Amino acid sequence: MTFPPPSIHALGDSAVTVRFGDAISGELSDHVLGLARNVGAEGIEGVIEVVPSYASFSVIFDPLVVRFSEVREHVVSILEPFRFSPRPARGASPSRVRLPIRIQVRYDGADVDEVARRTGMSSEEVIQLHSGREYRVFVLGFVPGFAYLGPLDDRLELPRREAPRKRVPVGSVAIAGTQTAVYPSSTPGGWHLIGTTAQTMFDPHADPAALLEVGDRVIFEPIG
Amino acid sequence: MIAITRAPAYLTIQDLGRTGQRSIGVPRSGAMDRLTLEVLNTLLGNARGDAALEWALSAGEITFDEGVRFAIGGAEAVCLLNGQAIESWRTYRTAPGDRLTIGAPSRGRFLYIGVATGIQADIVLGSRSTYLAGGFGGLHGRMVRTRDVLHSVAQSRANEVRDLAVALPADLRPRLSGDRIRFIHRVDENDTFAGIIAGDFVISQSSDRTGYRLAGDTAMSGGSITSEPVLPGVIQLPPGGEPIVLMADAPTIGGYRIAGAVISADLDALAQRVPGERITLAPVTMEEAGAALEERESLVRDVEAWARNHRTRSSSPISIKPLRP
Repeated sequence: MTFPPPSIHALGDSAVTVRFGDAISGELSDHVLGLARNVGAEGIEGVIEVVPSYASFSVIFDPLVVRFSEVREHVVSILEPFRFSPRPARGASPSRVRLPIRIQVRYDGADVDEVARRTGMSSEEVIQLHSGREYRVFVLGFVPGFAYLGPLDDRLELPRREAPRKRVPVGSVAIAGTQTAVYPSSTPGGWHLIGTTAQTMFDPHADPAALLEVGDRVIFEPIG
Repeated sequence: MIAITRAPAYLTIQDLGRTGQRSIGVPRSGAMDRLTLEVLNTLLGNARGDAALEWALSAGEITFDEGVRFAIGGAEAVCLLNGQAIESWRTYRTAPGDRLTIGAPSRGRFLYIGVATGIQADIVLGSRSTYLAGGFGGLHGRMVRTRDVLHSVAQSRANEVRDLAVALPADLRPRLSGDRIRFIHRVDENDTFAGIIAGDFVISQSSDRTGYRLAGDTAMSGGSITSEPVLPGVIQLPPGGEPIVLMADAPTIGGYRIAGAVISADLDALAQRVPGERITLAPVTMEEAGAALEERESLVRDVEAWARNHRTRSSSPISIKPLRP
């Protein structure tokens, strides 16, 4: 496969966004992450951070140090060799070998029975499907350390809850659409809660603060 | 010691916020009106990004249990020190027991109280800023409440001689006005969508540190997208069509269509607009955005130069210039 051609646009006067359409796939995620790392490794003066998402990444810079047009030119030249690449771009910096991160889950979520009912399965099957595969971290956002993991087994796909909860407890393991996540802090949320974990996902006083980063693999292990 | 004897509805410790951690979902946070914070700090002889109190919405009172040099700036409100009216953009020194009463802002939205050496708070992920949704930064990640006690980073410097009120010249004070908010359109080469917006909007009631919702007559096509990185200033078009301008505490990614982003130089002015106020969104070029930012920066530089001169003059009454050979 080849990747869709990128669109490059200004995100105000302090960021450039590179976007490869709207698809969500593992290969595209690898491609985006590889390119984002290449841009980051370029060490462009004034660039503060390169932020990857599903099908796009943004280069954030200090407009008092570097102009939009200069950052854009750098980005275009870094993208050029990968234009017709059939394989995902690899990051310039030797990426650390990260083993899949195992997260122990007690499948006692408030919505596990409802999920079973709505998907026409038993709760044991729901647990089996959820814990039976390796997920990829596509992006972090919503709140610090909230990692969007996927893809979920098709059979577990459900739209978000109609009435979001005002407060989802910290450590809740949840699903929605084709994704799953662990709530790193107690926040409002509209996903289906299927379990809980004692694993700390985000600690602002720790280094690194977030357990997961984009590109990581995650496996949920059922306990008790 | 700075005792909060009556907290307003919304009081937080803020500096210039966090950078470089958006990849793990950490937003910038920090002062909504960064320009006011920078100028206020400079007036006090602090570093630009020292922490101050961000005060919003309602009235309250602070009691000082020690000699502290402070200044206020930003939104306009009736401020009294022991019952005597005081001005914005002027430094004052307190005596133990002094009471500072601040009225509800009559114009503008965020008022800042800076103290010499800055407000003390733990540095979390590189900043003292409060991030309420994440529950960290500032005072234990929460709002400052009545009966809380705060401190300045250090006792005022020993060589401090400015016990008298020092006023920032009028031409160096950030202006609170500014209803023309400039932005840069998102320009796409390949995307079918390019959100075109411009014109008059009213700041909606549902506007806070996360984002300002705008109500307008212009019908716009909003919608959902695969989430992209976003920043403060980004103008989102949700399915309802009413734009949202993301502000300091906005999440790092967003799944709504993006029409563009407010230029860095105009975010401070936008932050100071209250619900019900009218603004005009005006598209500009990258060049104009750059010029506006340079202008903003040169104001802070001018304040720095003024503060430097002022300090030299007041602390060394006898100034002997070296003779050129």
